[in-house]
Amino acid sequence: MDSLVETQWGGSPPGAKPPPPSLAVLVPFDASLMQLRAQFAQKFLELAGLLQSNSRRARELAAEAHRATGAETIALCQRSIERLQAILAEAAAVSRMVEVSSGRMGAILSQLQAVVVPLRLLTKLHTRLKIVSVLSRIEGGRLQGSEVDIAALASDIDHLATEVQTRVDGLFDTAISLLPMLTKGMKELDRLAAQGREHTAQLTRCAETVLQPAMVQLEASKSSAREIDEHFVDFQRATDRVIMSLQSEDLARQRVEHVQEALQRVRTTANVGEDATASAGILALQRAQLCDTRDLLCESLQTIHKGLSALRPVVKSLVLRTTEQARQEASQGERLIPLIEEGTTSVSQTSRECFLSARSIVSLVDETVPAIASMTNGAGALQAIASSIHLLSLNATIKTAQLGTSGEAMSTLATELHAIIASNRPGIDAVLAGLDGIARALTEICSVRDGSGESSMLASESDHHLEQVLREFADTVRTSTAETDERLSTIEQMGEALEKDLRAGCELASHGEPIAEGFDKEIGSLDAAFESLGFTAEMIARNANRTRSEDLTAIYSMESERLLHAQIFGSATAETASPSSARDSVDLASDVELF
Amino acid sequence: MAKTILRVDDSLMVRQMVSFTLRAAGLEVVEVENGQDALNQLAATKFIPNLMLATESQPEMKLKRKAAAATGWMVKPFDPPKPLGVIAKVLP
Repeated sequence: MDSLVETQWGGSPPGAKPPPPSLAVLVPFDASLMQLRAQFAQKFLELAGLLQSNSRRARELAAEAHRATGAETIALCQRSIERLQAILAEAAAVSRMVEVSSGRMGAILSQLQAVVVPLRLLTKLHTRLKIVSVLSRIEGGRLQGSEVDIAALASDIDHLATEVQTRVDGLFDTAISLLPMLTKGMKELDRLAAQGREHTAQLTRCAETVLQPAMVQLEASKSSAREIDEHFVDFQRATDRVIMSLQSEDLARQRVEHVQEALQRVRTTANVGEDATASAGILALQRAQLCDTRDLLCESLQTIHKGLSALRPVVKSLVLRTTEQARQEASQGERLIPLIEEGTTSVSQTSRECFLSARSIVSLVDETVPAIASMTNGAGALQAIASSIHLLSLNATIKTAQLGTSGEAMSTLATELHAIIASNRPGIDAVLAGLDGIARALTEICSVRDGSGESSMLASESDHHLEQVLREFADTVRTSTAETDERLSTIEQMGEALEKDLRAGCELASHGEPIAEGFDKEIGSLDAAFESLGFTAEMIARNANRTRSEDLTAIYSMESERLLHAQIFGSATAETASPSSARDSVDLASDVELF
Repeated sequence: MAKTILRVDDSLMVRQMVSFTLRAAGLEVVEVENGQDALNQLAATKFIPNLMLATESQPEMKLKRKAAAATGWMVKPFDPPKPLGVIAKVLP
């Protein structure tokens, strides 16, 4: 017989003498195994308690570190930066509004000047129509009694002449009155545009004076926050490894329970007088289980020790880096405060001036827009006039044809109406084109004014709000900077307390001897029982010296125990595990199954 | 409102470690030691995903638990992120 384990469950080792049935030696095991379970459970529960308290402390330390490195200022900093960026965007919109308004107003003025000349010519149109109307009436009188009604035509021409006079004169009067208004407005617009440009540029400069260092402060705070989080993730990851090792206690408890059950079974067998030799293999396996459970617990304690040791530099590094960064940020904060304070005043003033200019431009545009808009409405009337004259000329031609040889005079009138259209068409087209250009420029002005008008209004309402945000920002940076020393002192104390606890945990985990001794005592008692059953010490020693890695299937009856063994002792330790290995990207496939 | 997990385990150590892991992730945990206490706690609950945390991983054991209406199976010892991942899946 080479090894007791090879016999497994039942059967005498080949070549061995049948052991005498003296199983009464197993009776004291139950109580001592209970004590052993309580002993290692207490140790592991103490370690679990320490780990939980350390983890809470680490969380508090990380939170304090976040505060010390300006986590609270991040939100305000972000708010202030966003507000300043919004101000700059509004300033850009206003600047665009000023440029577009100025440019398009200039275009309107040019178009208007171009429209005035043909309009002046068109003001004479109604006179020519009146003449045709009078001649028509005369011809109508001459042809009285004829079947062709010339009087109606004369009346239509007369009516049209009146309409033309009203419309064209109105259009001309509006254009004439708009010219000085627009010329004056353009001068004012140019002045306001120049002022607006200057204010916008100044506002941009002021905002950037605050914005740039604030952005630096924000980035520094964010970077610190990231680094603290990374440290905390390292801490969590190492804690996770310790949690896995602590669960060995549960497995060990189950195994010792199995040993207790097996021994009970052997005793029962002896009581009922069955062949005790059949139980020898069971006892051999229980011995192996005790040996391996002892080693499992001792190795788990070593792993926990390593895990807790690995946490110590993480804590030290967290405290050290937090201190460095908090001091650096406090120093940056001290430089930032006067910049914010100066910036607050100048940004507020400049933005107010800038938006006042913008509002003046909007008012100026608003004043001129209705008049220009009413002028562009005249385009429709001009089109209608041109069409009406054309219709009248056709009507005159028809009447000429109806009159036959007596309609020669009417033919002359029809020709005159054609001539009126032909001579005024270029003027009408020129006016229509001018009005179209004015309408398009007006649409652009209204569009850009509506767009920037909203932001200007917003700026007006939020002047006070902006000041408040910037002052809060300065106050927070000031308070945070002033509290740095106090916070760092707290962090140092928290770090020391955590370090002390981790040392205590390491100390606790490093003393696995009493557990090993407890197991050894049980194993020794079992060996004595073996001896009394007729097995040799050499066989037992051979069994005890077997290494775990040789054949896990011989040691662990359950696959999950073998996996556990490989997981705890075969894979990376807490020290070598990738510290930031994805806690978030969990592979559930290996040992998790959802039905 | 935080999700509540009822943790049933006869092992104080495993109960502590599971609860610690889940609470750190913001979940509420009620701990009981045995099945009867668990049933008493669950009287008023309608939908109960049932996750087994077990040492055994043999297919026949899993099939048995599946037949007994278990939602999923997780092998002990657990790596703390795993129960969190599983809970996120069964209690989205």
